[in-house]
Amino acid sequence: MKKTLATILIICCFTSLVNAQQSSQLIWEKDLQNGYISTKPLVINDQVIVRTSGFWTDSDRPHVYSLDIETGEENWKFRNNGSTNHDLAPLLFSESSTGDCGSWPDLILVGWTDGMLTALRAVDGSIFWQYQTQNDGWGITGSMALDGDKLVVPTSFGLSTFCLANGNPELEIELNQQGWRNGVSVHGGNYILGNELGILYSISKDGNVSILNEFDGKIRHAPIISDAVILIHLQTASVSEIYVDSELISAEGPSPAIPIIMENKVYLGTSSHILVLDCLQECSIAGRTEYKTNGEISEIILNSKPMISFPKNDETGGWGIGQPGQSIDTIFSEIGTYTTAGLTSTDDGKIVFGNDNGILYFYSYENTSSTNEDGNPILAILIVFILSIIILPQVFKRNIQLGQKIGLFSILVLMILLFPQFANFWSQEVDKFANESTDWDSSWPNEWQGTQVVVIELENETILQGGLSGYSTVEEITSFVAGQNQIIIDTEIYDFGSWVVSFDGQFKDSWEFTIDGKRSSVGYSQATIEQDSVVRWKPA
Amino acid sequence: MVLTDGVHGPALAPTEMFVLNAVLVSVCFVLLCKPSSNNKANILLLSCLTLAAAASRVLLEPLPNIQPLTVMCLLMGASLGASRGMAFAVMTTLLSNMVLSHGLWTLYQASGWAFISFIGSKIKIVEGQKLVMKNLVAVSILTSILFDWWVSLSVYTYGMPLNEFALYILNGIPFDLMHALGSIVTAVCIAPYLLNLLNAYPSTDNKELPVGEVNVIIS
Repeated sequence: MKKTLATILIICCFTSLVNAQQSSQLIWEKDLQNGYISTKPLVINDQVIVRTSGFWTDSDRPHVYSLDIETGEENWKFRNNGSTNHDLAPLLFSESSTGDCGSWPDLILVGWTDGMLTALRAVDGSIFWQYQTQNDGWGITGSMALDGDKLVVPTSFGLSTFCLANGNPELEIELNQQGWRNGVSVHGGNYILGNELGILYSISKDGNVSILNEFDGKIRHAPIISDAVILIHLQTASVSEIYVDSELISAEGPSPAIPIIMENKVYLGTSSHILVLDCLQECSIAGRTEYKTNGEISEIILNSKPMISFPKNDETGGWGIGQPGQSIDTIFSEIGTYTTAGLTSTDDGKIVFGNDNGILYFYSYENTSSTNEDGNPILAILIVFILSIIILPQVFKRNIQLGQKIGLFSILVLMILLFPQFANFWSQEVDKFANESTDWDSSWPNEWQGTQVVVIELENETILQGGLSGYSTVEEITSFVAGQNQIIIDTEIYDFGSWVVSFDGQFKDSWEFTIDGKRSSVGYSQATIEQDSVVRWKPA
Repeated sequence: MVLTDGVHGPALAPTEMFVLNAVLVSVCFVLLCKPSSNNKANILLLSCLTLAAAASRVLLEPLPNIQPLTVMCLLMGASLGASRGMAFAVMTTLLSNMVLSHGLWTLYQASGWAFISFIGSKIKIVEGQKLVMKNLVAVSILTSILFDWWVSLSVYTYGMPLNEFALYILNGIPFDLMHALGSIVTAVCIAPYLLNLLNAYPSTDNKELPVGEVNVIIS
């Protein structure tokens, strides 16, 4: 019995090691012992630059640190004696260059809650220039921007621009309303920012101020600009609202995260969901997944692919990786605490990040596949096969019965590893026996013939959208149609894939779909469709 | 195919769910209410094995249709008798589906495994406290596949074309094969140890009653 168990354990261990879908290795960690890390670090050549934040009442104050990227050893640090509050303005890097007002070296630009603006030389952390902006409130808390040879800064009550070469102010606009975490965006010849009164301003480079919109809430991020539309994720008293220009796209959960735009897709988050808007033509919701994120959504490179990360702001911590509307993997949850700062990746695929305990981590990370993709089992199969060939004859010589048990168990393990490929192959072959079926309705427009059509049978209405093309799975096309029609899809994630729980909260746990009138043998994230398929969702 | 990743099957309304649960719990109650002189020992063993079997279903859920419960039901029926075996099957199904998910298919699963226990009590799987491995393996394979087809009926709805249902069954063949293979491995690797445990607590259904000669005076 013991030998059987031991052999079984060895086989399982090897199989699980080979099938490991992600491996991360800590290169170094550094406890800065200086408050939280609430904003994402910068990686500049061989340095990691990070700032701390928090509340101090004793002699210590927040810092900006430069650490050697390979060892974590401190290169330099800079302390602002005047800052006492939660410093949340992200660090900004400006490469050395020359402009109309002069030249400057590599600079780390830091905005502080006492209104101080500091340009530090990246090489040694010495002050290149600094400027005290007027501060009657929370100081500089929003993200700054670069515009040629100018630094654009959302100040406590307005906006200013400074020459990067010498810190001389070139534009100082007072808006008489306070802003907090209200980053600024540069769009053509204008600077766009909002404030705590929900007013969205456009300020031209020569100082003309115009109001683009007035919302009933707070604008706490740099406005997202996409193809001449402006997207705002407004924080209201109890929830949040997403606006494209002045049109309300969706009402979402509370405490919106800092959104980002990547290739016409805008990624947003709240305490309840993360979501993505496709702004290629019109901005519409393309996917949504339950997840709690309130901090910096960031783009990273993971396994040579661009990915979006969402800091998970609960006691389990970590960062969610993936596309809203699909399964989300959480990585580095072993860090195990509330996370709000975004991840930063290096060119060679390493990840640096900090948490609310003020500890900075530097990891190498390899993710061979997401939890929902089939891993390549060939190596696992080979190992099990080789182990069996080596171990079984020895065991058979000593004890035939034991050999039979181990042999059978090995066969079972091999079959489990091969099963996904076998099942998919079998399904495809069986589907060939299926009669051609159609779900075409003669009342539909003729121009929909040969295109993809989606039908969603809600309680009080039927959503019908045709003339679609280019979608390859039920999940993709359903997410698109739901977004177009402002329908919220709630999904749950299982080992075999995502599962639609409800559309707009209706008929929970009892939705099924057909493709051309036939039930699928796989889940909606794996179900493929043709260019003329009709996908129909209805309560079971 | 027992575990599908496309369609749940018909969903039950709250009233129907209540009726289903009431029926299943009542069946367990009736099956267990047989008087027994070994009541406490059997109840303890039955409870422990029920929990272990339910846990095995939950833990093995990520694997494709690996169900040791099938072989366990056969053995329980063979060792503890039909009534306790069937009660074991129904209770295990109810308990594990509280975690896995509960619906109309629970009725099919519970009845399927209960019938397997019944078969186990009738077929010579255990002879003189020893396992007849050939019979056990053969019956395991057959009952595994038939069980899957029985549970697949939970997906069938009125009006569904028969050929569509046939395709559904065909699609499930890989899962049926995995169930059968898992049952073979359970039978070979685990069944002997389970039987040793069960032999320590003989079923009153199978317990030999004391017999002997009696002198009777008739006057």
